[in-house]
Amino acid sequence: MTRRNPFGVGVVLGLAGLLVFAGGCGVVDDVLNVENPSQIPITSLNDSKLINVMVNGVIGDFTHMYDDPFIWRGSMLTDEQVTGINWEQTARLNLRIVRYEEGDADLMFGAISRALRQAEDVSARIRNLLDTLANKDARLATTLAFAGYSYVVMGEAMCQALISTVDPVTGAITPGDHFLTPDSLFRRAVPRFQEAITVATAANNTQILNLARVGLARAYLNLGDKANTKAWAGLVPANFKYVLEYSSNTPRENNVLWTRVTGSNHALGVSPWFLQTGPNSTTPMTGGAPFGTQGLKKYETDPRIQHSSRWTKGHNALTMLYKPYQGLRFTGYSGKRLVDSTTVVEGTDVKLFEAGTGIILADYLEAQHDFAEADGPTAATVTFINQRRAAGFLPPVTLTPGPDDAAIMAELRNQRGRDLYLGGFRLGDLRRWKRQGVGDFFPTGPHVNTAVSPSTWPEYKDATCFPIPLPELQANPNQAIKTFVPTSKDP
Amino acid sequence: MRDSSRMRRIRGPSLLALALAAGLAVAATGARAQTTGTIQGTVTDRATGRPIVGAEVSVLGTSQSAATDVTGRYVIRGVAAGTHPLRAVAIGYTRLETAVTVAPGQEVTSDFAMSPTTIQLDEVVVTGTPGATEKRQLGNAVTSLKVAEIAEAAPVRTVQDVLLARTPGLTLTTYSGQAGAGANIKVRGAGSLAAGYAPVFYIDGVRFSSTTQVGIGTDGGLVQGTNPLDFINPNDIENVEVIKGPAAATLYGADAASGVIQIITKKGRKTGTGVQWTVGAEAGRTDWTDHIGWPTNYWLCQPFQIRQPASFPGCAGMDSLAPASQRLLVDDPLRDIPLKVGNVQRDPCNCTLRSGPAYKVDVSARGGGDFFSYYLSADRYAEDGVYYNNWQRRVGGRANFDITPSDKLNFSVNVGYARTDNRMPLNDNASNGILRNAFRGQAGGPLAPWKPGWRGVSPEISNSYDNQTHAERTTIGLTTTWRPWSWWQNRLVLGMDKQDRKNTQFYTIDTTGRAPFGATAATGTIQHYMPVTHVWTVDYAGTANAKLPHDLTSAFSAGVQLNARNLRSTTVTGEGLVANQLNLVGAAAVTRADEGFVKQTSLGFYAQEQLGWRERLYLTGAVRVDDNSAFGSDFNVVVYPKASASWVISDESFFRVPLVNRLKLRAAWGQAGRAPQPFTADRTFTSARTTINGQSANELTPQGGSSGNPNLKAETGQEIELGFDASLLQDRVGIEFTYYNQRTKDALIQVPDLRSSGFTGSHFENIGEVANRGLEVLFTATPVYGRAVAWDVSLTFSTNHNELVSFGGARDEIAFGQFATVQKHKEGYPLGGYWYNDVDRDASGQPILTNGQVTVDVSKYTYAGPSSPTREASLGNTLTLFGNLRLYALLDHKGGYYMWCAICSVRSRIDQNTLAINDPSLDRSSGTTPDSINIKVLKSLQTKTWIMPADFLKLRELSLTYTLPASWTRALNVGRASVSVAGRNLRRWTKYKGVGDPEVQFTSTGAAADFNRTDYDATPPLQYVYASVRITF
Repeated sequence: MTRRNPFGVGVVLGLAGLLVFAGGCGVVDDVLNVENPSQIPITSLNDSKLINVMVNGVIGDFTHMYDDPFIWRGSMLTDEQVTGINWEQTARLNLRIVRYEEGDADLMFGAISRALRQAEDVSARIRNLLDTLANKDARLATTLAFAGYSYVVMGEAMCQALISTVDPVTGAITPGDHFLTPDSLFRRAVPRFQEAITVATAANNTQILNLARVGLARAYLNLGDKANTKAWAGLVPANFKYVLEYSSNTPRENNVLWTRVTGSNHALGVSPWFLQTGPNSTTPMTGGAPFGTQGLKKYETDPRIQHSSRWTKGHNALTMLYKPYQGLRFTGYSGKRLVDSTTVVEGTDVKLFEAGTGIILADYLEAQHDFAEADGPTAATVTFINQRRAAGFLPPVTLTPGPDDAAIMAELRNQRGRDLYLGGFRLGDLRRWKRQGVGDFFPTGPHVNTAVSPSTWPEYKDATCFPIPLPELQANPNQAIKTFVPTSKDP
Repeated sequence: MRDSSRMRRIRGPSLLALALAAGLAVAATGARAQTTGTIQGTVTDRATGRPIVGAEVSVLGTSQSAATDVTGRYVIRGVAAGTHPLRAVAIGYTRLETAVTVAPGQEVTSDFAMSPTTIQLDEVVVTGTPGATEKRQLGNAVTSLKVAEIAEAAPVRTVQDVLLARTPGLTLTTYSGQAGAGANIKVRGAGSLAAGYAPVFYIDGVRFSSTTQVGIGTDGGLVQGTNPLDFINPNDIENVEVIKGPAAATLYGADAASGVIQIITKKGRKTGTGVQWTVGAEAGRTDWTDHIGWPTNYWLCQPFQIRQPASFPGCAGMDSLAPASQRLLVDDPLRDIPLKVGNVQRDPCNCTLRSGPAYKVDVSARGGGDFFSYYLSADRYAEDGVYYNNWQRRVGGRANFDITPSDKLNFSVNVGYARTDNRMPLNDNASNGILRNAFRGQAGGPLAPWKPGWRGVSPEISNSYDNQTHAERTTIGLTTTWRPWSWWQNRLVLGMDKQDRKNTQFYTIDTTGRAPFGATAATGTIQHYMPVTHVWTVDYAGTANAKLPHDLTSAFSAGVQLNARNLRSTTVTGEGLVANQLNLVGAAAVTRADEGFVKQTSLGFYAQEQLGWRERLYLTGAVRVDDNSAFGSDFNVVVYPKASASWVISDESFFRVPLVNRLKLRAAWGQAGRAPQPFTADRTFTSARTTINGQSANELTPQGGSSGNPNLKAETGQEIELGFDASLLQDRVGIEFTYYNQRTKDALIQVPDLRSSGFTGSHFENIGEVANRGLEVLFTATPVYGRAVAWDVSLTFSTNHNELVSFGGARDEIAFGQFATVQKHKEGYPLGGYWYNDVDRDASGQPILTNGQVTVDVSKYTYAGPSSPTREASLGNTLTLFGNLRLYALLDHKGGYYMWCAICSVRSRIDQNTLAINDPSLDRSSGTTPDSINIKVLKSLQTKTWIMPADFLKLRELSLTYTLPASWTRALNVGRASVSVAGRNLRRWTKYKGVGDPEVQFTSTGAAADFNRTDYDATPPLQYVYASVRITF
């Protein structure tokens, strides 16, 4: 069957060896070069032609962090909403349970970190590419302002944080080596806003200028620096408003609050016990009574917090939810009230969230609230309170600075909750008030679902913020950080 | 005269083959005519005297051969004058050799009477090198499935059916019983966490894409991906070879550590006796049967519910003081029985489940001449699933040509084409899926949102879901074999697997006013996902044989393989249709487009030397060098060595072991790899859309980009395999025994990106280690073999012990699970093993009540067991009476594993619709009775109760085939005819107490597909029965 090989085994072995050698020498590199048109190497980002799309990335990554996780998941720790989500890990947020091993903490920290790194790194790239010209470029002002806001929302949501850096040229990552407190995050925000103000002023861009001013006031308010809060909030003009835009163009561009209240995946709803008040707005919240027995207002008369007149069960087939209409922080807000089923038309005069509903990130009203809170129980604050009550079709209150100081500030907090409802402020507010000794207004007692399914819906627990997630700790090479066990409570 | 007669019998297709061959063959034919002769004869079974069909008779030392036709006859023309060794080989028989002397222009007869055997050491298998490699030369086990034989006896509709329960060490888990669904396949356990452990597939030497086909909705277990093997008609397959593990698959390189499955299709036969036509027809149906079980839902109306008929209409009108047994509501919505309780009335809708009809027709032509052969086929298959919106269709064909213009050169062209159409229903965790809403109904007690007794939307809404995939797939392989000298053989394979798919999801404009599929879908939407996949194969291999002194032989092989995969996809979406009829994307109010691209290329070189001694002892050493486009920029090539030994010790003169006829000892050690996914080595950003100033604008973002790893390389699977093949008792009993011990080093571990870097996904690092070890036994026996009765038994048994050895310090564990964290990758335990939470208990084991409730510490886990079978066995029996009546049965067992019944947990905790919770005989007199506490436990977040042993035994296949006697077939002027009745999944015996089936997998795509094991409304393997007729002319 076989014959003697006339060339000998050695020759054949030699030929084969050449083949193997050729492979080993990388002669075949050309064959293995593959294009990847869906990605761009990080080392290719230092290109002035890419500045605009990089700045868009800063705005986009902040925008799509702000609706979810920041607003939707963040507000679940508060009294702004009850959830009908079927996913139990996320549902536990509504019981004030946040585990650092689970996905919600990861989503929160990851999304804010992405927005922060984008803003910081694109700022650095713009400076690299434009040199001194950058100092009067509105695009740099924008990225700096968003860097400031990223620090602020990170401080408002996270119990603690880690910040790594990325070399804007090589893309090399330097992992963070120490933890940052919320206050240190707010302090990091301040210079970013100040730089943004400087550059926006040089670029003559008043929109970014005022965005940075409101942000600066928000950072100082969190830091308890009343003087600076008032100073910067007081500079904001009455017509200022900065909107984070959403649309129906692509699923990424959808406002997530829309998807959470529509269709069969209904997961976001209103509890009449929100805003620390009972149905008659004066009853302090003592915990969720069995849902359906609290004397709900079928037609809420304050347009800032009104909801659908008929409840439906959430996606978990358990939680009874009223769908919130767009409040004052949303672009579909009309200021009209649904006092009965015929006065205004649901869907026209009062709207549920839509895919393209914009969210006001900063405006004059927020600045006024910051100013009033920093100003304290003054006559001006009472005037402001009654202006806000009028917007909610509520009768004015007569409160006197001095004897009624506590009531003035309580009412201010109430109006702030209504004005900024579901706008991304509640978690930061509750934490600030708790941190600054004003009071602990986080929901306590039995959850509204308890009556329906007591075994799976016990009483509220005690989380006040989102812990550093496990993946961040695992990926950090620093052993002290790797072994850190985060908590979900402020001290 | 004989030649002209043959020409008259050849029809259409073979004429085409002749035309292709003519130009190449004519010169050689003319030259040979004067100096050659013909060998002809018959091949029969020595015991029964019956003809053996498909036996291969070859003239050794040449490429001349012929296969026997249905009468057992063969003809080899153009044999050079002289004396030649002639060999006959047939599946299931011991090979025979004889010498024949051919005179110029003469015809010589040589008949063979072959003896059956259970072990075939002479069987030729595919090894990656050119030339014939017999099993006796291999140091590793290769399972060869004779599909042509299996398809005759067993009810197999798909390649999955062929693979299931026939190969020890190959575990196949169906994703779903839906028509068109795929399966999870692994060989010798899961050897990888993150690189995928599916074996690679080849068809006639051409690699093809075998990953489950992702489409719209396949992520998250909402819709099943379509079966990647559905383009192959099992009746076109001659055999399937399963090459297991790195020790055997070294020559296949950086993708082959999980094994290689070679599908060899039927080829023509150089019978020289004309065209052999085969026609088959089959009609059957798929059913959800009682042995699968029906979900019965309960609701015990409480007095306060009776007083609230608006919220609990099924409880209306009851006496709240009546005994509990009179307040129990029972319903089975899936069975579509009427429901009339309280204020609730539900009439049958004929919209839940149906008997799914199926049929198949196929035709093939097989034949050839002296210098060519061909196999042509066409088939049509249609199956309706049990859901009204589930079906599968296939129409396809195959054309295989083999041309031998000279005894030095051979061309074969293998072309397969199939068009498949699937419609997949919502499934598993889909909120609008029909099973989910039936299993979670509440017996009409509480107010149901859409239809009494149904949890979510009504079945009519579920059935309206429209997700269709239409695919065209073409595989082309051109194999050239050139043997310039008898000692040197070269083979070049050029191949392409091309698939065009169009996956369409269509939501008609909502008329309910309730937007059951969401607000966007309610506007009427149409979405097309259109991936085009190319897989290219270039494979050159050469083998030089040499005779060395001292009875030694040498076979040196070297080769190069290039595999390239290219996927381009386009997605277009239209939202807001004007009318359902106007459903082109361009007619929608909002339109979008997206594009995807993936490309991966691998290049490998290998060299192998095999030394043989007296055709009984073989030593093999090889090395393979691989590079891959997915390797990191800081990494160059990977080198895989192998070594093996095979010793047919029974051929030694000293071998005298009673009862043992033949014995081969074998040992193999080798390495192979698993390449990382394309582009995962690079640190990149990607583009996305955001809205700025009212316009949708481009942005650059790390979201969807990659943190990357420049040091990324392939995993290295290393394996040692020891075993033996033996035949005993006059070849009546055969045993193949294998022990394997496998380690995956540099295992790719998905390490989370440093979130604070802005990258929020994960990247791969080569830091892990995974171990698999086990036994594989194939036992075959022919206890009775005679003209009247023949009984064949085939028993397979395998074990697998899987363990995650190390995370490389990257992490402590990876925890995951659907509906609860129930699975973990944890060092020292099987990958994806189950871990449970229990309620907090006191020292005596009693649940602790806090404020009247049980509590669960969800951070406290206890190991339950593996999620994949650790032992498998199958028993096939074939009883043949009088050579005509054949009864075949296959029992299939999987055991030593658990299943997470998520639907059980959800039904107890949320829907509270199980009998265990609603049983009226329970003592609920206080919250502290044992029954009340047990109900609290069932309603809690504990998972202990719902992670259940999943061992099962199934009557997988049963068939009865009657082959018409020769006298009848002669009268009907046909070669062979048979009729069958058969069924699949006919009975099930199981320890599993869940609602569904222990043999399902939650999701078919994405990272979760490899390890997530969840019973959550997945469709179990369903019963399929059919009748068929097959005629060969």
